[in-house]
Amino acid sequence: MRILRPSISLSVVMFALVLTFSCCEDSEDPASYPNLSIQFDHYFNNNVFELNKQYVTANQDTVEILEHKYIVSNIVFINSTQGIERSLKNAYYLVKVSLDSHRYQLSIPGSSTGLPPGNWDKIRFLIGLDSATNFAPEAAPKLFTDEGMFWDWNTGYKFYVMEGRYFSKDLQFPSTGVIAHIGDMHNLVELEFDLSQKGNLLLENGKTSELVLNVHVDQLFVDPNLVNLSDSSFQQAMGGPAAVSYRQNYSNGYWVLNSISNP
Amino acid sequence: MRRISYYLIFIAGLTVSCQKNGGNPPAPDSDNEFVCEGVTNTPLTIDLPTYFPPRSLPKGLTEEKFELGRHLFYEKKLSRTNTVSCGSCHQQSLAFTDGLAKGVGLYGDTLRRASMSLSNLLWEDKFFWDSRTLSLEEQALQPIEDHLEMDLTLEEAIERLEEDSLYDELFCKAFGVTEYQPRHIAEAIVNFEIALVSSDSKYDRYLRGKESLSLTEELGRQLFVTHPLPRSVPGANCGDCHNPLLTNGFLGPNGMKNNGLDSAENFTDLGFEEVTGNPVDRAKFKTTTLRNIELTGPYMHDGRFKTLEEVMDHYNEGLNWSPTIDPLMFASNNDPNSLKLGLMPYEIDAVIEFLKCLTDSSFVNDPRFSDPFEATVK
Ligand code: HEC
Ligand code: HEC
Repeated sequence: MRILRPSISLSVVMFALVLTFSCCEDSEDPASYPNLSIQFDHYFNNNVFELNKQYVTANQDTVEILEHKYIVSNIVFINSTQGIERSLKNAYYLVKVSLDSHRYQLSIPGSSTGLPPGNWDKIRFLIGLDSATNFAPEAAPKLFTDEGMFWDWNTGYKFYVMEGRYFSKDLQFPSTGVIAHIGDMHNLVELEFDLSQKGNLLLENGKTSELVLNVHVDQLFVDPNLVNLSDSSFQQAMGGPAAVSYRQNYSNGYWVLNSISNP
Repeated sequence: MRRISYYLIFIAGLTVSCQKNGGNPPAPDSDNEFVCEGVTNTPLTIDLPTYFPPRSLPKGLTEEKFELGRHLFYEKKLSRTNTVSCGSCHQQSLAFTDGLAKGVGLYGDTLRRASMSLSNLLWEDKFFWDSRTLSLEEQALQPIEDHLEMDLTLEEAIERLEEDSLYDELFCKAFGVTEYQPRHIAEAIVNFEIALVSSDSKYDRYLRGKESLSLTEELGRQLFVTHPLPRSVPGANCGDCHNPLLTNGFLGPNGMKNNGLDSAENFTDLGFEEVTGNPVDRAKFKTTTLRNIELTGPYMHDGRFKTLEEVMDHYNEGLNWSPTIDPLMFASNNDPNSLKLGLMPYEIDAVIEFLKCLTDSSFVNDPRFSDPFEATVK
């Protein structure tokens, strides 16, 4: 028997977040505003990425990933010809590979202060949180508290989490852990995608548009920094130089625009 | 007419008997059928601390269901031998555990696993050490039917309750019924369980900015939430698995972990694999709440550790490799030349001091959660 675990708890988290952070209490009809779905499709060496499965990295290291998730926030829609930028306020998402699917569908429902209708040729967002949100003044963290993304009061949140195993016959045991918990403001990554190559994103009232991003998880281990997992600093990257190397790798060709479908 | 006379007898009975059995209505004599006047819906107020993960309360919680649930929770008639209630294995003074390594059932059999602390269940989405049950409603009836725990069929349970006039009144007020069903029992118990919110420990007061921790406790807190980096940042790495807010155990798929208690050849309990059938889940167990942990020993699913010192020894030294051991148990060493956590003795003490800040004495002494049958025997 298999049980449907992750999707349930995730949807609860997202629902709660939407509840907490979307502005309006009176129920708005999403149908009268633009809706957007951003699909994150994860791959490893160009195969559909699965948790708990062994893969070989660029350095020929064998790894198995058990947990892979990251925070997406501050989504900005840009029309560079008209010089307009519109950002989604108070929208924080946790994108996560589940046991059932390599695809994470981030659905942004319409609301009066939500997605801006228009023709957008660029989109920008953070992998992580801006510092005001990362270091909220309250004693207790507010975001993703069920998902363990909060690190501590000095560091704020983990922006990117990968937990897995590294297999090698040179180890004391058949496998050891390989953990990348990346946070800290200097590891904040801003991504910008040129949508014009795929024909701009149209957001129209009452319609749903879709953006598909391919996520190349194997890129974590290469380019610009070839990761050699027998170096134990890469087995636990929690800040420090190893975290920076991982972050530089995922800043580069990790998230790639695949397609846009407009209404 | 008949109703009035019943109430007269009832009130008279109350006055006479209240010293003895504290306001329980007298057993009706067979001529006097109880007539239910209908349900009373006093909304149950439960404060959800603002710093807990957001949750909404289920609909329809009432004081009356809570009170019924509380009686059922402590009702020994719900076991074949009339000796065991939920409250036997989940005692309030022990944060609703039983002080035993493994539970003991109504016939004296030792159960497979340890009893579990009950608090902040609204924030849990899976139950039992192997998370085999995904809703509290479903969970609530299982101990009654379990042959080792309470050993009654639900029909028998209901027959027994029907013979006790106390429950006429309680079910009537809670649900407006005199003929009740298993789902009423479950709902009432769940009402009681959801109200078991523990949020007044020293750590809560710290989170609310009302109290500060001692230097040792603060060191323990920092160690607890910090993943170590060899040579540079000391850490005990607990918060990677146990939700740092300690409101509850962990949720999501990562809530089920193998924390290295045994090596593969010594597994006697397959844990989560028994539920999923998937070997990647072998010997994974629920990352349980650490609330009131000072009161809930012995520790782990099989109660193998008697003290928090023994627990810390395990995390610090007792690493047992197996294919499903959580990677976080490895990639967390303070000493680069060892795979072990390697905390210093004073750091271990500090973590334990911090864990003791999770004891919530108002929770374990709250009269609302106490045994209503005991309370009246004075
Ligand atoms: C004979 C002892 C015993 C009795 C009686 C008993 N329990 Fe338990 N309870 C346990 C044990 C042991 C476990 C853990 C079992 C496992 O994981 O396999 C448990 C687990 C639980 C859990 C899961 C908690 C969590 O965090 O996952 C809940 C809820 C619970 N019991 C409620 C009840 C209720 C309600 C009753 C009465 C209807 C009851 N129990 C009666 C021993 C008992
Ligand atoms: C890899 C994840 C992981 C890490 C890291 C971890 N724990 Fe645990 N912890 C668990 C799991 C899973 C259980 C339940 C295990 C079982 O009973 O089989 C548990 C159980 C416990 C218990 C017993 C709970 C009970 O109700 O009996 C205590 C106490 C505890 N952990 C404290 C700590 C402390 C303190 C640390 C840091 C030094 C820590 N844990 C680090 C996963 C973890």
